[in-house]
Amino acid sequence: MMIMILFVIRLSSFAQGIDTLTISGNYQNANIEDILLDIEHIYHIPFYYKKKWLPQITISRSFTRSEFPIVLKQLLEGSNLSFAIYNNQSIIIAPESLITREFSQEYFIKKDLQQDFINQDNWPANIEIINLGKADQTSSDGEFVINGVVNDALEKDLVVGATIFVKDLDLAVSSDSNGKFILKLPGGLHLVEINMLGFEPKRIGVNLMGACSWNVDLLPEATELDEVLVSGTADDSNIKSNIIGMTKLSPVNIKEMPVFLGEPDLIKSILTLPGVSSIGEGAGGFNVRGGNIDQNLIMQDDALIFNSSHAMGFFSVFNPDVIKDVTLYKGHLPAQYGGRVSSVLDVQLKGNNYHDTNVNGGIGLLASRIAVETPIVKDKTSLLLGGRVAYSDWMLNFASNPNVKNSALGFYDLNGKISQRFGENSTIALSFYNSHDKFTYSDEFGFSWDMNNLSLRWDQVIKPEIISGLSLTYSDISNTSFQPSGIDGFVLGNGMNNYKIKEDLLITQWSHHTINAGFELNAYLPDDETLKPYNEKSTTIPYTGIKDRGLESALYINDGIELSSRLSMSLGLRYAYYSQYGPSNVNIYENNIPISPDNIIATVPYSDGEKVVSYQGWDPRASLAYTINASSSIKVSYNRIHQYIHLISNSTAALPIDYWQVSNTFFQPLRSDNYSLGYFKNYQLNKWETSVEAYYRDMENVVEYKDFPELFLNDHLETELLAGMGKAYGVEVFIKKKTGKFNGWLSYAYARSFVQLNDESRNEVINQGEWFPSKFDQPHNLSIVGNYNFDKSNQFSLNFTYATGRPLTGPDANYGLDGVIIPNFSDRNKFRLPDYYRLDVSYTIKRGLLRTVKYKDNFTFSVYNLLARRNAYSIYFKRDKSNNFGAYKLSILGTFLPSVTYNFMF
Amino acid sequence: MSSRVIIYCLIVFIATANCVDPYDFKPGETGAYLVVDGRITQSDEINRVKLVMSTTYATNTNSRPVENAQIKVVNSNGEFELFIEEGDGIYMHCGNTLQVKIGETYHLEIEIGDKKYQSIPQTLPEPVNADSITFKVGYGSEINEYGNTISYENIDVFINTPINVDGENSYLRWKTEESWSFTEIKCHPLANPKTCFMARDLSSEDIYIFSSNDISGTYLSNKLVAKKRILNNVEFIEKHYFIVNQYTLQKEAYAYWNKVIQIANPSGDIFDLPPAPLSGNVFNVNDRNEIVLGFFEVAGNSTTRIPLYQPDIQPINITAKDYLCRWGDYVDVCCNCLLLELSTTERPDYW
Repeated sequence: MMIMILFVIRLSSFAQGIDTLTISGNYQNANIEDILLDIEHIYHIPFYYKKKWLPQITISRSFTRSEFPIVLKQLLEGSNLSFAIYNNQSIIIAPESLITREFSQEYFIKKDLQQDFINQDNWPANIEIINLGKADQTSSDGEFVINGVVNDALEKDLVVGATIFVKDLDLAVSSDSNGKFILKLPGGLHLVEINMLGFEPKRIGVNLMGACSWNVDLLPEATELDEVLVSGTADDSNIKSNIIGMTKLSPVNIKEMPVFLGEPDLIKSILTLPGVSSIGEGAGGFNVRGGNIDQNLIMQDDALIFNSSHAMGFFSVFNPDVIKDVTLYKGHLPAQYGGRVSSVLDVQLKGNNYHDTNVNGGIGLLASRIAVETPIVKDKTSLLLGGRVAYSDWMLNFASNPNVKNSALGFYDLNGKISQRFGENSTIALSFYNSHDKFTYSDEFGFSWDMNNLSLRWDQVIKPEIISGLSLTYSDISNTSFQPSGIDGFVLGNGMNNYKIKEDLLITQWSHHTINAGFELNAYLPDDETLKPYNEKSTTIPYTGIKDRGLESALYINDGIELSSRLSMSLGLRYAYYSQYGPSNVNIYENNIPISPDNIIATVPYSDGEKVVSYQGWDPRASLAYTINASSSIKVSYNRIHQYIHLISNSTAALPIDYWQVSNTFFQPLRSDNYSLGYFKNYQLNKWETSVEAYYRDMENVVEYKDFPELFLNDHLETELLAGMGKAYGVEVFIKKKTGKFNGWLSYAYARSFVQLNDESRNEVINQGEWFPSKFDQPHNLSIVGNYNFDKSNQFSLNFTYATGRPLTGPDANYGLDGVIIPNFSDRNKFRLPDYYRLDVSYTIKRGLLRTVKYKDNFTFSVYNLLARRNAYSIYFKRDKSNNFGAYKLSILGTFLPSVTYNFMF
Repeated sequence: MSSRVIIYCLIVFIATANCVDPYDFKPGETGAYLVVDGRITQSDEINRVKLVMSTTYATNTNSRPVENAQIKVVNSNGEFELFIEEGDGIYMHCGNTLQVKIGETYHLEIEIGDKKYQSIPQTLPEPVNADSITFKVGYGSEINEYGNTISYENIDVFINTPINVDGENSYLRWKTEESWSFTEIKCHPLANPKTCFMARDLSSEDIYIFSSNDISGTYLSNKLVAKKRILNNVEFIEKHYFIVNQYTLQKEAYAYWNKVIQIANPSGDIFDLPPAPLSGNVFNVNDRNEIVLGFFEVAGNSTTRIPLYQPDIQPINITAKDYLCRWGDYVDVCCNCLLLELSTTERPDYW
């Protein structure tokens, strides 16, 4: 609050109103303070001012029955001071920017405001004070809403993840993916701090008089920001946020990670966080807290991403040059998210640069990329285009093995976005994504897959307290595998299409409540699974398998509640209704025996659009955060989540040709109950960030596989799958140093994941119906990320990863059968692969660091797997040339891989 | 760094980037399981069942035979015949009291001590008779432990056979044998040169199966059923036979062998499916939880043969017999062909 008068001079009462008072007097070479004292004495008018504000000049003036306001104007002429009449009884003299014509009574409603009013000395010196809102506005509770936007003053771009901290109220919010924020504050004076990594902090006094908009401009730091591997959020957001297990990443964080072949990679970055892991090189997707890769809801500009990897997991599908903001939820999921039980990865693209043209790109040995952001109509229309291409074929030509020489591996992807502003309160954005991957091994086999996304989003400020976000999205993936040679040469194809509409309302009408409410509709329409002859010589019989269709709808409401300055919570409820629709043929099997095609007793046909089965589920979501003090907090959360779509895959790692199956009569929705508890503590003014989180997850209807399942071209897939129980639990420790020449983080997780497959009614069991480790069970996970900044231009980075080996099904005996030696395999996942560890390093030399230099570039020299560790992708068992049975370890990468990448931006 | 050096480094990285290394896998102590390995067909082939106990993984020791077991084959009418124990865990079906007939259903009953085992009944299918065998002579290549590519002389054996006979899906498995002869030379005036015959299984460690489930058409041409790597070309000095036994299986037997391929012959790449315990079609009558390995197969059999002579395997050069017997490694064998491994003077019926 504004702090005003330091001393009051009270004189005898006066008989007439100040505005009609006339003054007479003759002052020669008198300073202003003496004149005011004289007027006070004679006319009994109390003046309120700070002595230091008064200009140290002398004045010679004569007044003869001059109106009092005119007298004051003349006295203050030439200075930056002005005056206000308060309650027609006293005069307040202060700098012009502080003065309103009339002070509202709401200024003094709250005691703490009055106290702060008196403690103005605690404010920084020379702080700028601005007026927001119109003084003639009123409010029933004395509070007004500020709809703000944080801008990059130079790049004219929106700033995402900036912290807006109201110091006198100990209240903080962050700017969202559109750079926007909402504050609801009592009227009056507030000290506001705006912080964002890479920008000079801003402190400003806000004199709030009414509901208003506020554009905040931040200046980038004079040089490139310090290389720090911190999240893109506020210094203490980990303490204050009421959402446990949420992490935000900025493109800066992603680009500075030592990565495979010098390519910045979003998925590789999140793998360094506690609780996030992967099978290793050659595997697509990622696992969160022991969950399968299909349990992660991955979105780009609200459109679903079905496969987050290119080239067998070596690259992610996200072009780092077009990413604006990334949020990973792995603990608490607010009710506006649903449909996947483990996590949400929400990626938002750039594309709202309405002022300048920016170009970013990189050229590497195996892949290159470029992105261009430019206004089409200044301040109204913005365009974003980005593309990447990988080209490994030229290297394969050097291989001596003719099969490798004749192979091919590559991909490309394209991003585009056009944003249109309609005034201050409405924006429409259309974004698309297209990618193609291919892999062929000589003329023996190959596969390819394509993804397309289209997203249309309309953001609208209906009124300051209500913001609407409507999105319409389309996503698809189509896979093809082929074998050209032989009489059984074939082409096998499948795919999935998703149509989604989602409306989200952000409501801040009630103080201390931030409400998200809305609905979401998801239609899953798979492509038919098809088998065709590869050419005219092939005698493969064509086959078409119709896959199940599903429609998932949801209503939700989530309320972020500030119960007190220390206690906040997020309470939500999501109701989902799911139906499977025809065309479909549903088999009925004999009871009490393992289901197989041989015991089908009837088949019920369903026509196109006819409902086959439906499910519904209530998903309560609750998260509570208690701020112990400014540097520590405790959080706890509970979520229930239902999942209605599953990835069918039984290889060691997900393959591009795996397909998505919606819930149906046999595959009931996966249901998960997730519990999290965490303690968060920062040290040395948030220089160090630490946390310990424990979690437990309970699951029903986990999709698992019988032994030797036939998953493709199968009209009765239910005979190959089993539904079981799952549980996962663990503890995650996170320590981060955010600033300084040396910075980075360490994350460790003890994480277990188990499955039980025991359908006694059908005598279908695996491992005698006992709990056994799931294929993602890795008890120990450690990740160390470190950066050392020699100076602004030179940075060294390292990334060390360790994980317990994954479970393995191995043989415990050999036997011969008709001349063939056969291993007998033990219980599923009884053994373990060797432990996984890997060290990556990189060195970056940056140029063009001054803010005034438009063209900036850097060279990144990196070595992936510096220790040349041959980490096991799998262990398989087969005969050697002497016909002796042996175990062999397959490693995807058997050596270190150096690379050089040239990155540029202008 | 010159471009030549850069390219060289890249080649090295490609070659060494993807690695397969031997791995010392130790499963720990485990028990032994009963293994049933047998087959009956309608042909003249002697039907045998072998009973052994499994060995601990990777010990490569001989498995322990199960002796004094009582084995009988039983048809759908309850008629049966006992197998005769030959030794080393091998039991033979003579066919004296129970003929094996096409279309009849059979199962196996085994008694070992107080344990009783039984196989799932199978119907013996009508055998699909293969038309002919062809072969192709050429050179194969492989990379040795030093990373060098070596080539070798090779003969691929192919079968040509009808499929989808009478509209029925065909499930086929092939076992290939070879036989050859070697005749002694007159090493001394009183010598009476004899001819020896050698026979052995070919590609026994490989499994060749076929299903016509997803295949249209009624003929299967040039289906690879064996590969012969020529290590000793003396086998081709005289007549040489390839004999292909084509077994017509039931669908369940084909499915079993398909799973065997997955677990016994993985390709060793990222597309391999996770292995799993493979149960056969034999079970303990009183304890279904007991692990019994192996498979008792009831199959229709047809046999096809093709003779080979030296000119047939051009361009592979065969050492002249004169040279071999005078200066080569076979001087002693030329005087006593019984020194050859697997040799016998008993002439096969088809020779």
